[in-house]
Amino acid sequence: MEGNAEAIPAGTGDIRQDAAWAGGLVKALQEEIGRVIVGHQDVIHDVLVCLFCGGHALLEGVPGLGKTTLIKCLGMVLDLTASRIQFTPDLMPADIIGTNVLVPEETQQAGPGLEIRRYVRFQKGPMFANIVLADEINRATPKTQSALLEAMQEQTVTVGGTSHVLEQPFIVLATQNPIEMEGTYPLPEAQLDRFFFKLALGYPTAGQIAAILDRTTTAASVALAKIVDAEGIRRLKALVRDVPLAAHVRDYAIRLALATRPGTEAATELVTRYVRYGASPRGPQALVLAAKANALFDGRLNAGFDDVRASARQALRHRILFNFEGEAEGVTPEQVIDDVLSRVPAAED
Amino acid sequence: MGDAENRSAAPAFLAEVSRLARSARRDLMITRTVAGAFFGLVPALGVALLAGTVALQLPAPVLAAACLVVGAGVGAGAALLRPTNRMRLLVRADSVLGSKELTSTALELSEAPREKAGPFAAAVMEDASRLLSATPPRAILGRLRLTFVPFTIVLALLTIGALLFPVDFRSLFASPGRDGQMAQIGEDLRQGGERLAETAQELGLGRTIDLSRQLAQLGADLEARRVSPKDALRQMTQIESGLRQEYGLRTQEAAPAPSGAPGPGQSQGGEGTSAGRVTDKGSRELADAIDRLDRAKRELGGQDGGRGKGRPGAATGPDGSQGDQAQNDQGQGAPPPGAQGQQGQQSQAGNQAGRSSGPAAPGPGAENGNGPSDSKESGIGTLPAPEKRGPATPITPGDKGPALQAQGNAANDESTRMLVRSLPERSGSRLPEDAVLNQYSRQAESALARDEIPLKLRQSVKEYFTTIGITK
Repeated sequence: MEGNAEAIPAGTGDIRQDAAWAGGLVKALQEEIGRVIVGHQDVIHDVLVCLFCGGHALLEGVPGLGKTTLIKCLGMVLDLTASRIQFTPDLMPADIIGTNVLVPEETQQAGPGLEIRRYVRFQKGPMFANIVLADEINRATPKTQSALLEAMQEQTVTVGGTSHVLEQPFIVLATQNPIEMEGTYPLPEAQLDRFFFKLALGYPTAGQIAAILDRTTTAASVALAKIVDAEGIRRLKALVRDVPLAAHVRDYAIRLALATRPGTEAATELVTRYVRYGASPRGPQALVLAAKANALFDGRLNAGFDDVRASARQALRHRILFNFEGEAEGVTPEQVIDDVLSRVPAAED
Repeated sequence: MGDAENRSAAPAFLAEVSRLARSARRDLMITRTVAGAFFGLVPALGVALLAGTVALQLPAPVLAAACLVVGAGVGAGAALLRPTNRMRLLVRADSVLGSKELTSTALELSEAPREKAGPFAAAVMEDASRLLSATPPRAILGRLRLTFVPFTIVLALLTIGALLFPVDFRSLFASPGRDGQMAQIGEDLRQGGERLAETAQELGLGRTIDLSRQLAQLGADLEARRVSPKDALRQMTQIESGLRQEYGLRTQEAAPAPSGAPGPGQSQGGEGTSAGRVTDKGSRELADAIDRLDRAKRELGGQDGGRGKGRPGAATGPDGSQGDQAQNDQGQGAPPPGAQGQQGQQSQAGNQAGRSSGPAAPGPGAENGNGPSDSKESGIGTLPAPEKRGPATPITPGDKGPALQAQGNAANDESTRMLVRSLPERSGSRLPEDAVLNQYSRQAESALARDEIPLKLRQSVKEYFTTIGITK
């Protein structure tokens, strides 16, 4: 490790110091990435939350907003292996997870000549990296997309009846373009649900664009330092899960998720009218874990209602499927989530 | 943070929570007690308001205080029995302090098994304990909500005011004229009852004493409006019945009828008897009381006026001696029955009788006469119109009743008395008129034989019966 990483102490065993270390580490990572990425601090924060919660992130935004750059920067500041897969319609599953190949092996035999023998060897695909950038994931066929399912959920890859464990930490950071839908294959619900967060990138402001231009149209180049290694990430992930979260806060996350499901008692009017399917149990899982990470990164030792609310959009927006009326009316998941947040009380009487 | 730190952090935190819970309970006690007092004051005010109108078994202040104490006690008891929800209290504390669920999470961690509490538990409890100890409970609980206090004060003041200045609400709803009338009637009855009681005491008339006291009490009740007109009428009827019986006994004692012939015999011996009765103070007072009662009934109950109207005061005096009484007692205080309105005028009784046309039977005195409706002109008749009377009552031999009394002026300015024995009937005649006409005629003839009957009056009586006979 180099740069800021030297300044960050390892876990001391004192929970207060560990929490302070975690908060400082995340701040350092944000600052380091921010040296390249202009703006999008909230997106960077959320990507780090995904990382330390052990989830995957789907970044959605129009071209040119720095999605790929952000993920590349993340790979650079983390002392981890990174790979990039450009998803295209002709991309095959074996191209990303790997395949068994016949490998020739020369052996010396008794007799007049050499005998060439072949054997099958698993050739690891780009999936075998700590950070996988699945660029424009919706351009691959569903067959290829589904190849990610096992890797993302089980963190293993099975080829030829043999399961291969992926390197830890493992995080898939996918991007997709919401406007160029021709020739794309929208991700199936099962695939979407496996993403911890879906992050939306917005346009930069004028000042941010000026900063982008200053950084990209000159000869100056930025070398990012590696802030934390795999061990630090593992420790931080464990620390996030240790953050206490009271039962009534957990229940709030559950009620929020339930409120996105039409037909339930907690469903709001908007949900009942426009939503076909609401959040699966992975929704409250993401809410609770993200709340813990938010609290820890904020220097607090417990998670509260605000921490749950802070991640509601990211955790629930890709888990809400609209019915025809919702699609026709152009209702957005953010509208539904905001409605749910405004109507579901934090503390039950 | 190890187990030792967990163990040390939890009690300190729980002590702070207990401190906060005690404050919350104290607040609850106060608010509930005040609320209970408010709801206790509602019946207390009712008691205080009723105290001026209704006689209560216990003193009104005692009852009102009891209501207040019970209400406040129930409120305080409810607050005591209600367990404090510490989690809710700390959720509120987090909300007020903006502590991001620190204290509520700490409470949960303090109650969790040690192995599940996690490494953060001790630090969280420490932070929460520090936060709670640095925060006054009032900052968390907010201002004491004494919503009921102003209402309770108002109710208390109203209750005290009602206790200090009791109001008889009957007077608010009753018409002043009616009340004045009732008071007058009551006063009249009370005075009559007292007079009768005195006389009865003097004469040693046991039952009359009781009746007179009842009458005086009824009069006092009416004066104080402690009895409703309906009840008063009922009591009057009972007392009157008793007084009539007493009167009958008195007259029998004073003038024992000769055995055998009832009416005429009575009539024949009537003179001496009559003189005896007139001078009998007991009978006179009894008659006076009966008359007062009769008048009171007439005035008190318009609905009862049928009978009252059928009992003209002059004509229906229990012994018919009101003319005499009027003359004898003129200027001597309360007039005897029938004296009022007559003022010694001979025709007054007849006029009253003539006007009395109630459907009910006439008074005892009226039994004796079959005065036609034109008796007004004659000035003698004391009976209602024959066609308006009920059937005649069978006459029991030896039965005596109050005598009919007519009055007139003798030629030599002496008062003349004519007593006609009648039946003590109050419910009307039950015999056909023809059956008693001869009897009454004989009674009248025997009465006419007396010297004291003025000639003019004697002639009138003859004409009266003659007219009846012709008519029939």
